[in-house]
Amino acid sequence: MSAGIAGGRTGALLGALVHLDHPAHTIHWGWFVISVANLVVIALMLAVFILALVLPFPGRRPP
Amino acid sequence: MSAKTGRPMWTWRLRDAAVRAFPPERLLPDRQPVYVASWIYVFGVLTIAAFAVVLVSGAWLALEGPTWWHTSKVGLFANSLHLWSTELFFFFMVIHLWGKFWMAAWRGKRQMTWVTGAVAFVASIGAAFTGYLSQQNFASQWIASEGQGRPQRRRRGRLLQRAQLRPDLHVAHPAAAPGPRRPGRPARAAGAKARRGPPARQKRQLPQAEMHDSSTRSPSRTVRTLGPVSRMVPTASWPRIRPGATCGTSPLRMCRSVPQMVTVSTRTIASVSSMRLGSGTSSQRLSPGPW
Repeated sequence: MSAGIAGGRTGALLGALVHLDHPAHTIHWGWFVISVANLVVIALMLAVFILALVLPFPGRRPP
Repeated sequence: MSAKTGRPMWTWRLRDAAVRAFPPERLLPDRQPVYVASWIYVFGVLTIAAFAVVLVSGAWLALEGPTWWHTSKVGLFANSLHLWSTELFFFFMVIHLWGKFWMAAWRGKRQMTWVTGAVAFVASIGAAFTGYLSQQNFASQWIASEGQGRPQRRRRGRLLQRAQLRPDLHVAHPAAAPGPRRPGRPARAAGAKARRGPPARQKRQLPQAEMHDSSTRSPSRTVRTLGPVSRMVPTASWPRIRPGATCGTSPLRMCRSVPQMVTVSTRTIASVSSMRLGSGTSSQRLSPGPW
């Protein structure tokens, strides 16, 4: 679907920033094949998981 | 208290049992355990929130239909809303799963809580897969045909392609995304009068009266002739005992017959064009038959 239908200039701008109209990039490690998009999502989940454990939760701590 | 028997009424007994099972002082604690003050406890409720958006946007899509979600602006927005809420749902759910796993959250008689989470996780994967297949666009066809990459996966690929066209699959998807049985309401043209009701109640189109030929001559012209679809293989004959050649009286000493070695496999191909051109392939295999 063209960016014009999706949202006019904003859609075109986002489409220019992240070009998605191409076959997925994949990474091959022997028998293991994964797309870059899935790898990025997994890395983000790991990062958010570690940050959730490390970052202090806001609020007053009981004495 | 029952006046006749002296025993408490069943409502009293029920209330006592409920209070014993769920003490009020433990149901609504006013102090939060200190370990709960962590960001890792946020992802459960984030998963539920994303799931609520998934349900609402999915029901919206199911009501409007694929033409709407592929062509209109609002439909594209609802489509994207459904996709990204699903992405966030899985994102938060996996982090929640990791957190609960490393906490060993099944301790303290909470096994069933863990089991329900695991079942929900597996069910979500199946629901997401059926959702991708029921998009009704080239992407869903591509996903279905991706399973056909290697020869050993062709059977699974065919199953996926067949499943992509089956209405049952769309019913299996939560919120019952419409499938071929229910094509959905087409995008309404400007000024067109809205028509309600399922397609089955619409009037059928009849051929014009001048056209007496009811058969369609070439619904889909195919230039390329399909490959052979059948193979004729004669049944191998290999009797165990050669008649009239018994070497003795014991069955163990009987002479065995020579197996039939020639098995002709014939593959034929029929031309479907008007030129009556075709080709035939004949192969001969020399191997013992199955008996």
